[in-house]
Amino acid sequence: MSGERLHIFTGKGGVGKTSMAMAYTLFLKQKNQNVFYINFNEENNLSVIDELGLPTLALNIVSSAENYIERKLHSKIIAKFVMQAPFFKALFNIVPSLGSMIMLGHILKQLEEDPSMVLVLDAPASGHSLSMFESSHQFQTIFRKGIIVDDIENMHRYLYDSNFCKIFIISTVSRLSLEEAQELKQEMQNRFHNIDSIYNFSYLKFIEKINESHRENSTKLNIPNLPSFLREKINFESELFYSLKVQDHHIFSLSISNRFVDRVHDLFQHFQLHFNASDEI
Amino acid sequence: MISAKKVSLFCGTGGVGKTTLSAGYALSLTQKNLKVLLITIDPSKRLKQLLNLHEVNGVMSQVDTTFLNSQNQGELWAMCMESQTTLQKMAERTGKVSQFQNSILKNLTSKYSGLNEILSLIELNEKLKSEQFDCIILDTPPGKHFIDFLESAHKIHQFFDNSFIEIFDYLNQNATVSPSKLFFKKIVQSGLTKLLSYLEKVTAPEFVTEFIEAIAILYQSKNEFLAALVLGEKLKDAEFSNWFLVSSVEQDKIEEMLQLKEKATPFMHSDQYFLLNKCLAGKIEDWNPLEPELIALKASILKKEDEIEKFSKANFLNTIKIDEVVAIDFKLNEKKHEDLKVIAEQFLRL
Repeated sequence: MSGERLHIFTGKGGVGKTSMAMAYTLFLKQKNQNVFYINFNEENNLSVIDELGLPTLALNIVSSAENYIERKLHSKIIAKFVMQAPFFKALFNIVPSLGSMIMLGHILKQLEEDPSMVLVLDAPASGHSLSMFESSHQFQTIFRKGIIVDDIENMHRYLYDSNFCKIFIISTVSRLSLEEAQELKQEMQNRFHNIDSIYNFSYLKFIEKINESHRENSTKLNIPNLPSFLREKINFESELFYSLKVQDHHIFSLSISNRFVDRVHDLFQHFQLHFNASDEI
Repeated sequence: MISAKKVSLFCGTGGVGKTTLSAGYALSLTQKNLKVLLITIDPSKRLKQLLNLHEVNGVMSQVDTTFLNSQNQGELWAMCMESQTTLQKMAERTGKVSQFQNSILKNLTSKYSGLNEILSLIELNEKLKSEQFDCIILDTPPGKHFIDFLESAHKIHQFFDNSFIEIFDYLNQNATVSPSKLFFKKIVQSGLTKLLSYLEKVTAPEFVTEFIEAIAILYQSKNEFLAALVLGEKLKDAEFSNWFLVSSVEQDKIEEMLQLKEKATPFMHSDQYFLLNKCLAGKIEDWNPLEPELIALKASILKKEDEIEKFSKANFLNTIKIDEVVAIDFKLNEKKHEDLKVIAEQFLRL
């Protein structure tokens, strides 16, 4: 079992970050880890979380900030007072990166306090993820020194430790999404050293799976009978995976289950089949 | 028929094709001999690769549209929004460039700082004032960041209004004085003393001085933020703007789309277009697979598309379906614009 305690899922919008992060949480939970799913950006879809039996931590900027101020100034009352001041409310509104940094800090604090805890972070899409990770560096420069800067440096020690934090960059097999994933990886490699790429919604994998299940009666699919858009996609994918030397278990099949919850289960099954034991590292 | 308006906004959840469709729509307008500017606010800046832009961020550049092979007289210009450049130009307009060197402002507007949404209404307003373009098209960031963009002017106005009214009264009377410790003294007299003293406890003392200076500097451009508020109001005028809400059949984000629409309604007019992107039904109607898995695949694609179309017809006045364009080979550069061309043609046929 690998020892990372913070697993971060990012990638272009619409590539399936949320379903992938949820499936991975279920996977770790099934391995008896004390794991929680955190959605950084959106409000949680409670009925989905309920149905999946997904352990979650709900964090929000105001309570995270209050928690931080309380710890620093040793007073709940002052923390409440500060966060209720219209000035601070307005400040958080116009400087979104301040909130991002505080949330990230709160997440790391939780991990520091409970050594058994493992977190799966459903992070914002590429550009906004970079903003989130850039925020602490900005405020490190802005605040110059003092206890906030000490805390930021502590955050970075955890975040950039490849035994502690792992990044999954999700991509679909389309040109825009792939190029965005590559750029994102390049930017993130400046700071993070444990990054994996995952390819989602693969038609190729979908067809391969059909062929596998028909193996006994040796009737392989007749590819030329597929509609042209499908043939184009499949050819494109096989060329691409070959040229990028993608590891087979990092390619996830397209799921045609109708319900979101069922699609999460399909991804979960893939993790279970292909990500167990040592190959996860 | 979609009539060209002064401003068009493309919005929606992530990965549905906002950037591609906004570029395709912009190209279709150049075919009507219009001079068009396309601005992207999203920090991931897909526009650059889509149109082969080489300019640095924050600068407009003309797009080579010869791949359209048409005789039209239209022009397409494009730029990626960058908050630092917007701020720099604001500084030039106040005539006090040196003050904008404040380190907090510089940091907060650096790459990936997250201030793009807040400053882009100002950028849009400037571009409108320049009267260089017939149409300006805005490719907005996904989901909640789109709401941030819509609320930006209001948020900044609120910040000035509630927090610093006393200080700014003082600043207005002493407009020639450069921001310095003098302002700090004034703040000390106001109710903010306590808050700032807490801040001083946990940061370097220079931070608080610089922080106040940063706000004082921004306040000098208060009128630009007020103008952005007025522009926000104008976007509600159906004569002035087109709102395109983009969704895609490959994602079932109906819930998210409804939430987005609900949150954005106060900022829009009701004459919106719902663009349903990446439609496949037309391409697989004649396909008759024999394998049960492929029969299920076909059924699932058709069902999804049907559901989302019903949803959009129930919730939006105008629904437009855009067919999926499979980029044939991304290694061949000359084919790179093939997808945009096809999308532009789809818009022209409407």
